[in-house]
Amino acid sequence: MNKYFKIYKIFMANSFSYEAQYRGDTWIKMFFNIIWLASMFLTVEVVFRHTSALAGWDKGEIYLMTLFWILADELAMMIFGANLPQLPDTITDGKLDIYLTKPMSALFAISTKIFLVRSLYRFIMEIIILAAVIWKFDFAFNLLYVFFSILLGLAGIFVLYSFTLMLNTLAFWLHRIDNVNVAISVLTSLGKYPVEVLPRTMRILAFTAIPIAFTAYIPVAALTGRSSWHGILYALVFAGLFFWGAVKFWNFALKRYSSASS
Amino acid sequence: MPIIQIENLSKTYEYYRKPAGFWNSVKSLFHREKLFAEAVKSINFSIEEGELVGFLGPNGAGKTTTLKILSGIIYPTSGSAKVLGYTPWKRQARFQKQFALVMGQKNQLWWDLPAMESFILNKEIYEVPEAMFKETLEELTELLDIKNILDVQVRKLSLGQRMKCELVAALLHSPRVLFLDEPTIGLDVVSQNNVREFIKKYNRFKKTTIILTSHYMEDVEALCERVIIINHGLIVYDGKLQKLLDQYIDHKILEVTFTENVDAKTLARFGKLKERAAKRAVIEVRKDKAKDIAVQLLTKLPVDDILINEVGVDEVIRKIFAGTARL
Repeated sequence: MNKYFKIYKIFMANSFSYEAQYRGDTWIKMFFNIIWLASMFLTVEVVFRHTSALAGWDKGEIYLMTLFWILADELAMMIFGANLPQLPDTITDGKLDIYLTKPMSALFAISTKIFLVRSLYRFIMEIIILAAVIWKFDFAFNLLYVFFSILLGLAGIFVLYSFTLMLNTLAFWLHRIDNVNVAISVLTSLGKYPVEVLPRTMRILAFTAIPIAFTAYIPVAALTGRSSWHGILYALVFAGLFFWGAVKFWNFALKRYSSASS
Repeated sequence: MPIIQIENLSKTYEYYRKPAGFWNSVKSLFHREKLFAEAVKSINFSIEEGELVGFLGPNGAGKTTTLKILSGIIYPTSGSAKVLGYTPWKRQARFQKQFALVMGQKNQLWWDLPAMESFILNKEIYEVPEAMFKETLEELTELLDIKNILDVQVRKLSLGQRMKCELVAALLHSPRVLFLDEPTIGLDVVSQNNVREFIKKYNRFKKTTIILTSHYMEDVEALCERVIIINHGLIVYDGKLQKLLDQYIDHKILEVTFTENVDAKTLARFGKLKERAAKRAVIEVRKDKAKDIAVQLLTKLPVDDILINEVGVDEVIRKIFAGTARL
């Protein structure tokens, strides 16, 4: 464990060194991120001009859900978002070779090699916005609910990681799946809405095969006291099993790896 | 006891045939013809500790596939392999800490960062103690003469400097077995020579077992006492290099340019005339007479330029097949 901690520290240090070389790029991307955030909030404002609640959730709660989704997405981007989408190319171009010869988990290395530094800056900014929303809407949370919300938020990151990994692992069979990460992005973006707005079948999928409910809906439901104990337990067990399944699938797929001609 | 032992090792790749053209592309969405390529066919060999073995063959012969199986990158279709007593494709950390793979056409260094950052990363991956890391780094950078480039971004280094850094990255944990897959490919003659000299010294001092694949006969001649030749997935020769050279390379090729036309009859007196064009000729001569004949050509004929070429490894393999398929 200590070894992996040291390796991750080096990955982070190298990512900071890399980012420092492209500072201009970082600031431009920060600027566009602010515009993107503004568009998210504008959507909420437009919806709530015409209604006072969305599937039983008021404006402040929808803001919370949107921000939870943004924070989960940002954390995912920071930790594995710049890595896993490269997996199909890594597999088809034979770049996985080097990872497989090292005395460490190849999955750990390909998932975490690049720490997206600009996502850290954005994450801090988004935490401040979340604090402002909590203050603006005068939320008062139960501490136990806060604890479960954070726990479920982290479980949601594991679910998102596992979902992304499983779909990208298909590259061992399908080779060119360039669009898979666009599809993941489109699907997971639905996670910023309450699942009650979705059709029944989609709602079932959101808690199972296409687990979009885990990034924002489930943590915010816990935070606002909407979750039952068995619901929280289901989410935690599901996250664990989904992660385990994704790792098993990866290990199974590795047996199919044929590298590439040199 | 051999440090590397391979028995009846085979590897078959699956691939698909897709004829060219738009409609064929559409058709291939629904139906593709599955084909199989046998890259390695039931090969056997063993290597003792400290040996430096040349693994030769033309493109697609199965060299890299064998190295990839031995380093645990891919699974074989059948057969067994043991490296340092481990089955490579089980990818046990204890095994991975004792070998290294350097591929001339792939790099493990971080492209946008100085090589030193990759060395520090490898130190943690291989859990090399600080003192040993410093000592090995000092030793390797001294031998390869790259102390002054460790803080330069990898992308700004020349190909030769990059390969030297790749070697350092691969050797920091002092592996007992080293797989070198075309380490001199694309390098200029000076860099090729530097890398070659380094490998020779390293093998001599560290007694590391090395398998080297290369298309350059100079690499093999300079480094390997023993060679294994593979073609179409079969081992066609496994033995001393000298025996192979004596048996199959008995000639060199002289490529001569003249200042005026020289007739074929005159040229044929010097050796076997392989090609002739206006003011240019390619002559095959006995290996031990090559220098003398070159001198004679220079003194007796109006020579503008002359090149003495070694016979390539591909030609050696062709010759082996012209004689017998297995020795």
